[in-house]
Amino acid sequence: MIQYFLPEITILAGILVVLILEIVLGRKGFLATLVSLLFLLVAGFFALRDLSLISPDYYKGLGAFINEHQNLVYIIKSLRLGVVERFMDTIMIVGTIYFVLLSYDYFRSRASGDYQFLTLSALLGGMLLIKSNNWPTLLLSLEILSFSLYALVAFRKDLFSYEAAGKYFFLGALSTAFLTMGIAFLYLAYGTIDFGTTFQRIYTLAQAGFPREVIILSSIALAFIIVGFGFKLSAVPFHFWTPDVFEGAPTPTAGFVSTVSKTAAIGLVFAIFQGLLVNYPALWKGLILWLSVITMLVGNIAALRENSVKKLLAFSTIANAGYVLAVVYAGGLEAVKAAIVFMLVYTITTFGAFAVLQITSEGNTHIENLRGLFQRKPDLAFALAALMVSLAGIPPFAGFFAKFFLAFSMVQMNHPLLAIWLFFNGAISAYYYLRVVYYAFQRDDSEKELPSSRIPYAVAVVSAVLVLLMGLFPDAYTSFVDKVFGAFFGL
Amino acid sequence: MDALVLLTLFVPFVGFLINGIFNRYIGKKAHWIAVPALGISALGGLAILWQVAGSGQVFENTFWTWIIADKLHVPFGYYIDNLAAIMVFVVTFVSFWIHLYSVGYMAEDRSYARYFAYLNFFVFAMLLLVMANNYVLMFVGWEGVGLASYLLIGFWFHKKSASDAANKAFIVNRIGDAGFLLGIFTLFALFGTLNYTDIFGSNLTVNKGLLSLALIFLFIGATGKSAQFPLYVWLPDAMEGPTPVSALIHAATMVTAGVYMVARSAPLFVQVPEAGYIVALTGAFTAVFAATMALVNNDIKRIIAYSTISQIGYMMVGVGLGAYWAGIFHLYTHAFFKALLFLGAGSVMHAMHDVLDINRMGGLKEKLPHTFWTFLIGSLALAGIFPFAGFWSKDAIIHYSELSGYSIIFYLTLTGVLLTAFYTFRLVFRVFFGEPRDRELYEKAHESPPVMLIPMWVLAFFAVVAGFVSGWFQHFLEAQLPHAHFEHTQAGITLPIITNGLALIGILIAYFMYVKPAVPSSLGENPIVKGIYKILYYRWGIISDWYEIVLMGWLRSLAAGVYRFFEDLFIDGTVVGSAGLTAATGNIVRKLQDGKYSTYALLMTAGFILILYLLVL
Amino acid sequence: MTLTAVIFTLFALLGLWGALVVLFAKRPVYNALGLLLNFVSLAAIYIMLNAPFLGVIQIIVYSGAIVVFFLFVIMILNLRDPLSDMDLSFKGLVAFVLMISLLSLLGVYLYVIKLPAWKLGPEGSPGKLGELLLRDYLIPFELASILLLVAIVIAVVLGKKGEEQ
Repeated sequence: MIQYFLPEITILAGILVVLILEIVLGRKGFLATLVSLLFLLVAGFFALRDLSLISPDYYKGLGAFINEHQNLVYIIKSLRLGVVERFMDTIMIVGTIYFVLLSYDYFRSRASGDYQFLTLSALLGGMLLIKSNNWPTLLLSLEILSFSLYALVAFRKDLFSYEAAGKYFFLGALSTAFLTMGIAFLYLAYGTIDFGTTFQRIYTLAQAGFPREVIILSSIALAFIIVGFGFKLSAVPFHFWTPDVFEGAPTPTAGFVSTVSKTAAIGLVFAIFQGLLVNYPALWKGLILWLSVITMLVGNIAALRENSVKKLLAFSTIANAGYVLAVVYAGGLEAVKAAIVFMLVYTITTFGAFAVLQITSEGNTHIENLRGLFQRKPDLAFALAALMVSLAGIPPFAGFFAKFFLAFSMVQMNHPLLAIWLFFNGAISAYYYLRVVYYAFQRDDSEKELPSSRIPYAVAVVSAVLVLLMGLFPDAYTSFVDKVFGAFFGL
Repeated sequence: MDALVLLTLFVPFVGFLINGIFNRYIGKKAHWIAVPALGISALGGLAILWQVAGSGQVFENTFWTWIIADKLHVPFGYYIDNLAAIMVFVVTFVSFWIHLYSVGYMAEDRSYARYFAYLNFFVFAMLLLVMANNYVLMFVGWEGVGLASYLLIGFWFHKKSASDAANKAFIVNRIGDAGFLLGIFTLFALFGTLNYTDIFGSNLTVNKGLLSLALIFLFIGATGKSAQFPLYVWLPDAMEGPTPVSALIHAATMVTAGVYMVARSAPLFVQVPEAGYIVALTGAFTAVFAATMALVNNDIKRIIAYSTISQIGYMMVGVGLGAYWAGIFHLYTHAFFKALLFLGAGSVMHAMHDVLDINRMGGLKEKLPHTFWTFLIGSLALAGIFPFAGFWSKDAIIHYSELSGYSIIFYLTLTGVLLTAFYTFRLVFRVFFGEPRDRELYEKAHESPPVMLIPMWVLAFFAVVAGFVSGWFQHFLEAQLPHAHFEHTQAGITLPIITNGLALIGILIAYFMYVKPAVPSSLGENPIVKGIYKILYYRWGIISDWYEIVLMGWLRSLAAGVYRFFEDLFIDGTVVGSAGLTAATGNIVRKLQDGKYSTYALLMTAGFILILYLLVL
Repeated sequence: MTLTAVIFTLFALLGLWGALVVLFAKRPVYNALGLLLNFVSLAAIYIMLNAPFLGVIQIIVYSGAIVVFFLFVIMILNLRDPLSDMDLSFKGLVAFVLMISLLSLLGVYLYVIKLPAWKLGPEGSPGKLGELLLRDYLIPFELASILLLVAIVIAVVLGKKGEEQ
């Protein structure tokens, strides 16, 4: 059984190792970073190995079964394992590697083992969150993720950092309270905290017709639960924390919140709505649709005149969450694949952009502060341009394909209007992404010096090149996704 | 053919890479890379045209399969038929001369290498658009063109107007692009493929309604890129870029993309003539509408810009009515004389220290003889005077619009001829004739260097002779493109007489308004002549005044009103967010974002209660 | 009204009162004591709901450990001064309206509908609970320990004086 959970076990081992090293050897920042990178790489390797081995029979050794109705695999009651989850894991591991690299540069002499401990525990929380198969597991892994994030936001230990962490913590706790209340209502409606049993009861009820009390209880429960999910996703109207936290958090952490934590949230939403509640679409379809439509619009419009680059990226995160929510609504296998590709591209692009900001905008996130980047570091300016253009969804960069696949899956599921709305929002977003590029290419006559930071510099350039290559050869990764899905579902 | 295509396409790209990456070290030597790159590309374009014309077949090849997603297979490959070969030739050839001209024009600029890098990229993107063998790849080129134009229009980004213009161009184009993408999706839904050969080769008798929808979407894309009504608003502002860039956008690499796309989709448009009718009607309306705006403008570059919108309208009439060869033929002649006019305007600006107001010019004929003569040739071609290039192509389009039976289009195109001739020569007379209105500028004016004049003369040569090949052109294109679906009769002599007459009337009106009243002295010795002249002078003066006050005033306010209406509606109102709804929403969103978590908690709870009520009730 | 119902109502009201004290009392010590009252009433309700083990744990952990800890903190930090007035202006009004709308909706619906009668799990004796936690819910059980570990590390990390500043 252990062989199916190697990535999780590796991360868990990593958590303990960095903690013990810290205790035994004292603060050894470089060593801790190295160790945690090692564990991340091993976990990534195991995740990829899992994906390449996958076949319809892959999980049969556990006595697991493939559920006819939702194509998910249930294992040992509390955890569920499937191809989607593994892909999300891989993306999260990629994001965490980015995070570890950038943080090492950010904290330099202050790098420490406890920081790596929190990083890995956040990742573990995210990985288990998307695999939860009952509500206690879900809640606990959600809290592991959130607690680690609160601490990572506060880690700079200055007033801004504390303020951001305080807001994040307070609102996060509020949202968890709502989520818990919602779970209680669901328990009332279906009499179980297991997803498997809930799923079956919903399936039976869907055949016979839902009794009135179940409908009402489920609706109340959904309203409560969506607060918790919406908070993690930063969907409107639960997005308010995002810009403030991004502004106050250390730059790498802002990147982590906007990618890894977001990927976990997307995986979670897919698991709940396209998994647990898939047979009860009347309950959630309309809600998710409107949430996604409004989230896209509000994120993009708020970003139009935002002058802080970090807040701008926060609003961009919100808008992007809206795009993926739209495919959660549309559903279908293509939608899942599109969401995976989207999140991968989005993680690489966003972290690349944060790497640039780490060099240019530390201490002053105003967009004016980007002025003169082209004069001082032309290659960095080009990297930023490539990343922003990719976020704006302009070919031939990878961002275009990510959005293209999203829209494509919507059209395939007969939601062309949603695709139109997506493109309309893409058109708006191009404005503010390019505004960033604009400032980066403006002349600046002041005698400002940019810090020479090799790691973020390399990260930014590599991400930009990756984004371009992934745009030129999208086939390289989409065919892998296709192949794995094909192997898993025996298509 | 593979090698030839790769060479033509990628040499500008390599130029872009070299100048882009090493721009610091290259500096003022950038043209040694960019111009030869375009030279090679232009030779390649010529060779491609030669091969295609010689063999009469369609060249197609796929290098690799680019995207595979479910049933969607998008290859990276080329498709060169007669249409594409003509386009490749026009794009590379005209661009080459513009590159050469830029060496002189941009000599003083600080970001010389960056300029040439963008310029090369622009051409590369356009070639990608033209040579692609499927709609997705075409879209990639399409977006690349949009991006390059954004960078070049905003090239002097320290000017606020330039960065605003670039943003406007980009966003308006994105609206069109969204239409294009939806068209692509619809086509995929209909045919299950996006490759030209597969689509055109398949059974085209699909659902007419859906096909029309797809074509309308495609056309929305075309209106964005080709600056047709109502998405034309970006083009006049795009004048904020360097003048050679305007020449490139207007003549070779950007606005023609929409016309090309419609012509490329000809086998589909033939299935639904009604969709073509919409294209033609939009084109005809734009042709007249933009021309009226040019009548009252005083900015030398904007007048030419409006004329481009108007001329693209003619091309749209051609391709919309199914006379594909005529539309493309006009595209081809227009490329020469419009590039020429812009280079001429650039030369004038160069001489006048970047003054654009034609009211401050005048009498430049003696000071800038080369510029004057080439500009005059370009203007005659634009006005459609026999035997200049514009005459052949414009007359072909007007002839088809007469034959088509849609009389409204026919009369609109004829009106356009009169207006075009008038505003073109108003420009010529105001700039080159009469007395200098700004002595100081006039004294300092000087002719441009040879590196700028040579391209102008070359293009002037083509603006004269390019039209003579109309017979061959029709034969060549119609070998592969669909013919016009209505009865074709040989053009008589009547129509050319009418159009030339209209053009001459336009020129004469301009002459009597702007030249004659301003020549008071030469004949003034003779008292009789003096008396007649006085009468004429004042009479014309009266008419001129009346015209200025009543007609022009009215037209000006109308044009300004219409312009502002669409400006507000499409740009400020809904897209950029500088006014109205978006600003209000943005302000509300930001006001709520006040940084206090009690507010956030309250708002989250409010959102929750709202959702709860919506779900339960 | 049966005896159980009377006892239940009593504790429910006590718990509610405790919660209100937490919200509205001005002195921190009273807040903490209100919390204690709330926890104890909850424990009583747990016991009535056939979950004696949970009730006892509730008293030991929450009332015994957590509230006492709160009181220690309050005393050590010497938080005697009354907390400043809450912002009861516009936001308070909005919050009040929201609360009323939530309570009315939930109250009305939960009163009208008949709750589904699912057959629930075994009674909450320590033995059964242990069996459940260590077999079926082993993974969340272990996750709880990881969560606690994370919390401890966070406490240490944030509690350490930032020596670099």
